[in-house]
Amino acid sequence: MKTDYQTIKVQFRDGLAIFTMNNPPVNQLSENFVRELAQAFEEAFRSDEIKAIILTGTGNNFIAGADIIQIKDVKTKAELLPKIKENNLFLNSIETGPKPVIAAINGTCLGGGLELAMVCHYRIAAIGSNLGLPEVQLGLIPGAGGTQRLPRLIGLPNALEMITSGKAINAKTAFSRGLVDEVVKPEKLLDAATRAAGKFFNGQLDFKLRMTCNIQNRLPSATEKDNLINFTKVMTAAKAKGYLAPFKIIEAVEKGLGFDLHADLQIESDLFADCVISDIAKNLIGMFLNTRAAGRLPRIKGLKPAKIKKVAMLGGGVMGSGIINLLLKAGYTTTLWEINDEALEKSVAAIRKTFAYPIKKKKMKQAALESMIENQLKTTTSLDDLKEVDLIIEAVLENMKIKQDIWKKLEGICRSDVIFATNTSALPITEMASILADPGRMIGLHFFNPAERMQLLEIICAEKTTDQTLATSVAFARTIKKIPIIVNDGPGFYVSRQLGSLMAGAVVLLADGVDSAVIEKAMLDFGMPMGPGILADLTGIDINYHVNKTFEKKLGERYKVHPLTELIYQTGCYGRKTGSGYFDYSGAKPVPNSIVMGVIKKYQQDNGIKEKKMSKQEVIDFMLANAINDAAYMIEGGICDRPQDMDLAMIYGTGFPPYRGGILRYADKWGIKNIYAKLIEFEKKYGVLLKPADLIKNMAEAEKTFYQN
Amino acid sequence: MTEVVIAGYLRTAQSRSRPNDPSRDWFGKMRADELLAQLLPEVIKKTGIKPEEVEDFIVGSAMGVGEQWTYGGRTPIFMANLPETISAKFIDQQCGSSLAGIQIGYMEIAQNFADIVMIGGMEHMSRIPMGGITADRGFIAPNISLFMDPKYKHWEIATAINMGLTAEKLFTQTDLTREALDQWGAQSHQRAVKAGTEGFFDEEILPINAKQADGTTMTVKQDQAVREDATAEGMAGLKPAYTKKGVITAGNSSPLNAAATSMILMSKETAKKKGIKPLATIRSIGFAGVDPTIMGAGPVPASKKALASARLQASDIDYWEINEAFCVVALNCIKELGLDPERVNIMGGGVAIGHPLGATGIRLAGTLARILNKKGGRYGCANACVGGGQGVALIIEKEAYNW
Repeated sequence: MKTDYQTIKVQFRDGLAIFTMNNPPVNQLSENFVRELAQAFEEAFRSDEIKAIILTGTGNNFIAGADIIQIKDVKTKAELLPKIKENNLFLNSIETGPKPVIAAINGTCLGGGLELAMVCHYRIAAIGSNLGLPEVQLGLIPGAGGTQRLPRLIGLPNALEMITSGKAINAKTAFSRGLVDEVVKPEKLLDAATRAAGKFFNGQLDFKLRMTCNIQNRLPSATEKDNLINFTKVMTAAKAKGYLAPFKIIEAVEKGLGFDLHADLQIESDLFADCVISDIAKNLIGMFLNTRAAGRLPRIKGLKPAKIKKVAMLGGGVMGSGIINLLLKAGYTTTLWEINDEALEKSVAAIRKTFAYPIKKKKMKQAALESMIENQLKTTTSLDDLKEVDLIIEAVLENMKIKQDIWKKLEGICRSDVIFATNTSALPITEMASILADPGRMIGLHFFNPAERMQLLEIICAEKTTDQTLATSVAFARTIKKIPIIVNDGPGFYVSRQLGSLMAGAVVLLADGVDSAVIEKAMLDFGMPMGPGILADLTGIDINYHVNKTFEKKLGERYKVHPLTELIYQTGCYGRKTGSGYFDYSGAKPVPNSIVMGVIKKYQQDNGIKEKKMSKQEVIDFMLANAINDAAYMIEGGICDRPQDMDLAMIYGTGFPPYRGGILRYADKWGIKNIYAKLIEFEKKYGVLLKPADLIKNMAEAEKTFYQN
Repeated sequence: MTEVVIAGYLRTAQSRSRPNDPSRDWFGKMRADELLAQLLPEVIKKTGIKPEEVEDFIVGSAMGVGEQWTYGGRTPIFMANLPETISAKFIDQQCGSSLAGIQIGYMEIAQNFADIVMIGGMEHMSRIPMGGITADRGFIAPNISLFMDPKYKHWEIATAINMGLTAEKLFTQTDLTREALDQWGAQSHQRAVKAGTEGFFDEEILPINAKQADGTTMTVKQDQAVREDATAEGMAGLKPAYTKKGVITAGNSSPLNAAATSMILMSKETAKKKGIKPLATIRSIGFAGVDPTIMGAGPVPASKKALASARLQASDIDYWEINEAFCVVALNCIKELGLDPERVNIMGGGVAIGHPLGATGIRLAGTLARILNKKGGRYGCANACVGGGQGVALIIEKEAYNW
């Protein structure tokens, strides 16, 4: 048979054909790869010398999934369905083919990879492999038999859990659930596969019985299925609001899982195609691709990041301890600096606390934490001890003078190539750097609370930050598993300012007589994790007020503090920390705070404002128009210019609903013309806050979108 | 000993199972425990007792694995929403399972440890098939040494575990002919068709509304495997199913089936007190072990033991229900015990009605009791061969019950 394939290495041994899939970098399924696989199988099935086939992959990948870029460009179901069918026919031809096929799963086996493994007649997983159907995370459902074959192999409850969560399982779990027949050490994988082939040869195993389409005994009864589906529907409705794929998965299982697997595949194909052409999938796929590419800015292309081995953390408070958690996990030798021993002691306790959850959940051993603290963490109260480090991250009091004094001292102590990073969330970094002889070494690394869990790292370039400093910082962000989004210095940088403007419309509407409950509900329904009132109470109404004041001073009249904001601030109800803000937290559930509500009512009466009915969509339009407009102002102001990064920042930093793709993706979908028209209308009514940015006006006139494609 | 009576009996129809094409099994989309759960409250009602009066529940199945695992007999109680006070146990004596259930229930009452005992049987041979598939999927795992180690060679386990091969081997030890087997098979169908047409089974079958593969719902109230068109000539044309030159075919063997069966046993005194008319009184039980490679011989010694305990001769028995796992089993028993074939399986046997393994015993005993009532006989004997080389038997007597 033919052996010279681009993506498959073919070997023969004692009646066995061994196909080693080799499609760098991760054995991703592509049209060409599948075509070659189909051809190789066809030839092996025809060859008289070959009695069985072993399928495995190179390196750490069996198959890491399908090429989603191909999927992203699909426009209609009609163009897609024939391709799905062809792919299913290929998979069916392996499943019901004339020879046993053994999947020797050598590593990552996800999506289309697992679907391929599931048409094989015997599966062996090397320890360290992970198996899963992650399609739902990209707004899709498994489209090559996953929804129909997985329940047959592992039972419906586990299958539904795996498919609706998209979470992969390890080799041992896969074995205990029946997804694989054996688990072996990686070096024993081919031997085990050869032995399994022998069992087919000597009749110990019957490959016809092992065809997944012939396995019926784990299918639920009709009543069981009804019960499980009804339960899952309720759970999903609560958990997956706004998404499509989880519901399509349930539908695939509900309508499918009959006795004829191959007929049920058509049901799955159709539902898969529904997902592929949905905006939700396009948004999620876009987000996935952008996340992978985050931080790859043209300005640092080709620059070699400096090697970071030792990191110092200044301040071990809430942010500092969370950041040290990350540094320890990433293997950095970490020095914690605090003002005195007492503060150090407190900080180390706080660091331990950041590991409490993974230890409780048995994802980490106490001994591992102890060994990290013993071997990696040093503490000091003397800045002189930071002489040897490569990177310093500062999270001390938010006071410009204190920070500048420390940096000035450190400049005299540290090597000239050490990066000075500040975790300030409000102070201008360009100003902070101005006291340094070399301001090019300073950069903002804005972590979000809780630092050990939030995925976003907002990297802020000050005016003089060098490309080398940035390149090293971006590389560092990846080592601590953060998604780096790069912006320029300015009040609130990008994320805080954008979140502020996303919520800022609330007070305007309140002042105009709209019920606060309607606004809260509208934003929740839109997909934000919290409404404006609850969020303000969490961050602190006083903090927001001061930020707003700073914006007013630096950014001008559009940011003038609203008179109603002023009145609410004066109540002294600052939110959770004072027991009440927009809401009262003294009971079991937050209820509207009568003091603040009274202030709002009085403001309305004093200004002759009547109660105003507004639909949820009208609220969303207003809130989003304001947010999009401010994004345009930020682009004009040079804070940031990459829509994909801005959208990612909001999704990872503030919980903006991923299925909506981000603020600017939402804007493009809405249409800049429509937004511009709305803004003109709003400006007339509410004043300068809603004044359309020139960028919006120009884009509307030129019929442009934020995204280029 | 306290006298024990069969006070109630009810079963589902027996669907025809096909592990390779469950869509044709009328019960393909139901589990066996779901069938059983529908049956249990109904047999209690039909008998005329209250659920809380049942003291013990004994449920049998030949494949208590996968979805037929019952948590020691408790899940059918839960699924039928019966009182928690009913203790339960699961019993596996393969094809004798629910006959064994009756035997144990009988002993519990006879020795005054219980007064009312409910027996259940269930088997779904599409969803939990027997044989290679279950072994292949790891549901059952007979010790490999039994096949490999020379010290176990004499068991001939490869034959002992394959029912068809045991039937072939039993055949070679008789002077029966292939024609005799086929004839008995065809007659089994003809008798079952006649009984069905006359409505004999209507009283023992609880109709079940079952979802079908095409999404429709069917009320299942007939045994699916019974064929009106079965003839000895037609059967003669069938190919041997197990060995090339063998005689055992799909026609003279029982089909695969799914069903649930149920029975209520109680002391005769209690039946009298409650004014319940029993179907029959249990007189004796028997069990015996035989060479596992000819497990079909099992009913002979088991029946002999039961007869001896009851101080009866084979000729005293008016009607017999011999489980037709294979026609050769029934014919061998007829010959060895010298029975009148016209008094054996007169409403048709397992070849036609079906043999849902663990559920079969109750069907044999229940049908037999109803035959005695209908035909006016006194003694009846039900027996079955058991995979692994066993036989089980039960002797009942129909009395007047004038209360």
